[in-house]
Amino acid sequence: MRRKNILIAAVALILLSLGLMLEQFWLKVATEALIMMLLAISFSLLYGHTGLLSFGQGAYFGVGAYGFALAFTRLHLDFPLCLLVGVVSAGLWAAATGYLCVRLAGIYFAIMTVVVAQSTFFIIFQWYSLTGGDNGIQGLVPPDVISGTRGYYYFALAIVSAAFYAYYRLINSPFGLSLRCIRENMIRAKFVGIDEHKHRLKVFILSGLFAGLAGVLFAPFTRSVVPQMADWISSGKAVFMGILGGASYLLGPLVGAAAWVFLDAFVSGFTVHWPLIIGILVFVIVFFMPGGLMGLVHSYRVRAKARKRGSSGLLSDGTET
Amino acid sequence: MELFINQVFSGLVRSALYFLVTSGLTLLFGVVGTLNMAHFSLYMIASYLTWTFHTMLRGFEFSFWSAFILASAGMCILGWIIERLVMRHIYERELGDQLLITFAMVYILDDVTKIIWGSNPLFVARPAILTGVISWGGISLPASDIFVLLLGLVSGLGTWYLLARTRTGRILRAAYSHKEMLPALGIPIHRIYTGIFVLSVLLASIAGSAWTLMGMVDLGQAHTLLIEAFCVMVIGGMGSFVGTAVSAVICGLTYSFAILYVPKIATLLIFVLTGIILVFRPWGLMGTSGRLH
Amino acid sequence: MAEILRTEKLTKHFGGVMAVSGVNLVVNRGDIHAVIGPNGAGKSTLFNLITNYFEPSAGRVLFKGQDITGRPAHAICRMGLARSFQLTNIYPKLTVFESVQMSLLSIEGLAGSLFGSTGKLLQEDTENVLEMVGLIEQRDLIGNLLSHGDKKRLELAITLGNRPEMLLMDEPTAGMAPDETWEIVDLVNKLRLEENLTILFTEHDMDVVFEMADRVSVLHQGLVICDAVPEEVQKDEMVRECYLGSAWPVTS
Repeated sequence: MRRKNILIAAVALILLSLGLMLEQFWLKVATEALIMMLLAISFSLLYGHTGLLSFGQGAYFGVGAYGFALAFTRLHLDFPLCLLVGVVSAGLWAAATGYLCVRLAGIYFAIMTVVVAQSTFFIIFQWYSLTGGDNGIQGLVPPDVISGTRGYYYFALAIVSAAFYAYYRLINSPFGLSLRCIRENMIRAKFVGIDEHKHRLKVFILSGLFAGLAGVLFAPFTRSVVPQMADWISSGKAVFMGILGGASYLLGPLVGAAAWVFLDAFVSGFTVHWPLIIGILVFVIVFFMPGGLMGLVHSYRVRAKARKRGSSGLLSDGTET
Repeated sequence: MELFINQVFSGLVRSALYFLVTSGLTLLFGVVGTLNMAHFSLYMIASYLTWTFHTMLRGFEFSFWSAFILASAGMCILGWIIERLVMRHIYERELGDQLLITFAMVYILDDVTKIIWGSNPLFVARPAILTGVISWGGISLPASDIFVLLLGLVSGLGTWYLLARTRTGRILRAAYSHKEMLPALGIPIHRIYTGIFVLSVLLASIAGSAWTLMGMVDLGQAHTLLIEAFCVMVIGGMGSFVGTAVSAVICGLTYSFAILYVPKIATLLIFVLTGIILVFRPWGLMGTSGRLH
Repeated sequence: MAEILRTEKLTKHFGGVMAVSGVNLVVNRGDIHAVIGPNGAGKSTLFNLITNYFEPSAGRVLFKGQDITGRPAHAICRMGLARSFQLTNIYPKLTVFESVQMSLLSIEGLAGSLFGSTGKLLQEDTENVLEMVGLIEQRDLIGNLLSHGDKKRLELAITLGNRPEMLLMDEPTAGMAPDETWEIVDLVNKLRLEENLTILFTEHDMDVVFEMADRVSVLHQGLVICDAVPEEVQKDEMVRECYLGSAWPVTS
């Protein structure tokens, strides 16, 4: 327990000092990594914790971003209020589309999420009078205090930390355990009194909120929004970050998003064939490291513990990492 | 009236394209139980391959038809390679892994396509025989569209005949319902799966070649068709070959009339249709929940 | 004696096959009630109909006087009717503790709660249930790593966590070694005394049936052909003829 606290303090210190140490380019990369963590969390809640494979989280990312952008440019609301409008619109869109998706199971669910994501992209793309079509919306400049690269880094750090805490509480709550029961054995879960339909809709909306928050933070970060934020490539990003880190582990989405964004920034420096690398990476993960990066850490820790005890030492495979 | 007939006709042409692109996917899912997300990328590669062979054979009298056949052969070989290298290792894995791996293939195949053919749209000239328009009263039907329609019909009937009327078809249907029995009967299940996968790629390839008669060959062609093709598959009932044909016609006609009256949201309308059907029939028109996990 | 469960003309056919036809069954509060019958007699189907795992083709199910036909599984469970399955049905990757805690949380109406931490909630109650079935030592192991007998115990603990008034057990000792079987029998007897549970179960082991049951219903080809105390069932001519016969020697 004490070691855990020291670790948290150390990570906090590093994250805080990064804002002062990093140069412009890498500070921007770090900010993007922070924001993408929320998108990865959104995927992990569904896949890692509930066993629902969604290829559609980009839709809520996009709706969040556009909700913010429209409130900002059309309604001229205050910045914090715009953030709220974005997150709420993502939540509402998740509720409406989720109602349709969670009626379905397995592969039907997965396909339906693809259809929803592409349709969302399509609506944004075609609704020219409202969204500006493929021109997107520009000029989303945050208030002066956080408009600089460093300022925005700290702003994102604060929001993401709070959201991460909410996610942590969520998966440790009784609701979080119910989700894992549904993932492990849907029928058993039903027969101990869990209304799985209601639970799946609830987690779908919650994960939509996380994706929406990511979109809301991303819009002022790039100062603009484009329809491609909502398409299935954007959704694919959530999928890949989630499984790269290990979707069923608490820290999985954070590690996955950070690894992804930094790798992207690094690789883009010398090749344009990032998609090819991603594809190969996924092959490696699925075939050789099914738990993602946190899975590796976990199995290393289990082995270390076993060595200490001199037994097989197979313990809980849960989320307490 | 003429307008109506023209619209029905163009809807049926669209249906043929939907059917060609989706039937391979349905076939693979129905027999093997695996959904290949990269199916649409293979369809796109087939278009590029048709372009390449067509360009190589420029000046030759039957260049388009030769390119068509060569592309089909090439895609079968590519399909065989992918089956041996990748698909074979994921049939027995859980749903999530199957989707992730085939999704990763989308990225790999799309990027490789970009490396080989570049990002500019390419154009395949129609053969002389398909450039004309067949007019009849106020009705005018482009010859190339008639060809695509025929292609859809012939491929559909051919595959249906294979499934429903031949010994191979009986074995394939057995592979679906009594997987564990086949090895006991001395039937090599792996070879069946390889064959089915190659057949599914061949259908995608025919769709890809057909597309070169309808529009530009480009990197986005798979993505624009994707949502509609998935809807066709879901509406028909996943794994149901006949269901796919029926829903291809429904979606094709919906699209062609929507494009006339509400052009901006034609694709969206198909999605809404899917939503409505799923509310009442969660497993599609002709599907069963049997395959669901 | 007060009745707790009643089925009225409960019927299920799959296509043309009649799996359960017009079953009228009454279970009295506090009884251990066995349903026996040859393979394919419709025992499992009957259980699945009662808990609405399958929807009945006709007839209805009354639990504590209320019509529960067609109610969702989770609602039936919340009313105090819990079940276990023939093939062990646990959460493969959750710990023993979490598995049982879930049932308790669910019955307390906390399954959807976003507040509180599962580390401590209802810890004592969960441990009591684990103590009762003898799994307290294994509380931090994941379900998959348990022995077959312990998995069966875990499933029993999961259903007990729901604090049911009535328990449906489909073949509670299937696939168990003889000594494990008798441990389960003792456990169930103890439960009935301590928790005042009503139990309806199916079982293929006739020794177990006649050792445990207060009342036995015999199902044959989807019909109840006999419903009586064990001694009478053993004497019943019709049962002997069509079921016990020479292939099923009663050794108790």
